[in-house]
Amino acid sequence: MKRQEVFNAWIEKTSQIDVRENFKDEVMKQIYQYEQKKRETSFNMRWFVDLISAHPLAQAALIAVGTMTGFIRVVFIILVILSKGDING
Amino acid sequence: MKDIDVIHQVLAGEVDSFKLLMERYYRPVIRFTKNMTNDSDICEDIAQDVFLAAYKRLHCFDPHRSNFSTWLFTIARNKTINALKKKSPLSMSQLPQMPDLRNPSHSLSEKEFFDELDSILHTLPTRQKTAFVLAEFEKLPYARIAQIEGVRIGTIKSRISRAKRKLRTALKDLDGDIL
Repeated sequence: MKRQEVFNAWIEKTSQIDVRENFKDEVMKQIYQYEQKKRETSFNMRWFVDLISAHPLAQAALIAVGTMTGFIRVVFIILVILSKGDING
Repeated sequence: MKDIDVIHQVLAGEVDSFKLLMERYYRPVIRFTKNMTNDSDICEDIAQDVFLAAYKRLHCFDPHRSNFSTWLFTIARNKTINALKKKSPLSMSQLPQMPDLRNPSHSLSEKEFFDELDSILHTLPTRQKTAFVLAEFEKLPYARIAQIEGVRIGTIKSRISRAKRKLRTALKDLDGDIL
């Protein structure tokens, strides 16, 4: 067998592969799981948005929680700045 | 049906149509990952990751920039290179036994030459190996390999030429015929 033939035979041999039979099914299974998870997440978000928009009390509660969180954050930042001022001065 | 039509179907919510794309490309992708990693165990796992990533990012595919197979091979290339970086290098004991090609009394079988070529392929730098595998095993034109690698065609030609030069050393002592 000549050099070029050996090389070509090697390319031919290396190009042949065995793939497990269920390869495609496994990938599709993962894709279906991904889609399912995506739907569940989007469903949960939709449920939350529907709840908020349908109940004025829920809207008020959300605004109150947001305001409180913002207020606590501002107080915390002021405290941090003041405590740094104490250390420096 | 063209790839782009199948892609539109998948993006419109027909998840099952993705199987058509897989049917067309799973063998080339697995062959590529196999020839790059030389590891039958992990090559199919990498290929699974490639198809899952392709599905998740299908909306990012731009048919004006490349065709689907080029885009898919780009994902396969990136995933394989990442896997190779994580994989620990072979220890000396794990390296395949090479025949002594310089000993004229040693009559070489076809299998020994194949093993020698395999060993040299897997010691090539990743860039040379990627270009060589895409050109010789996947029969991709240089322009598409350049697109996958994000370099100029001249660079690809030079990488392939260097890879072939190294592989030729395995055959240089082959004078005439082998068994």
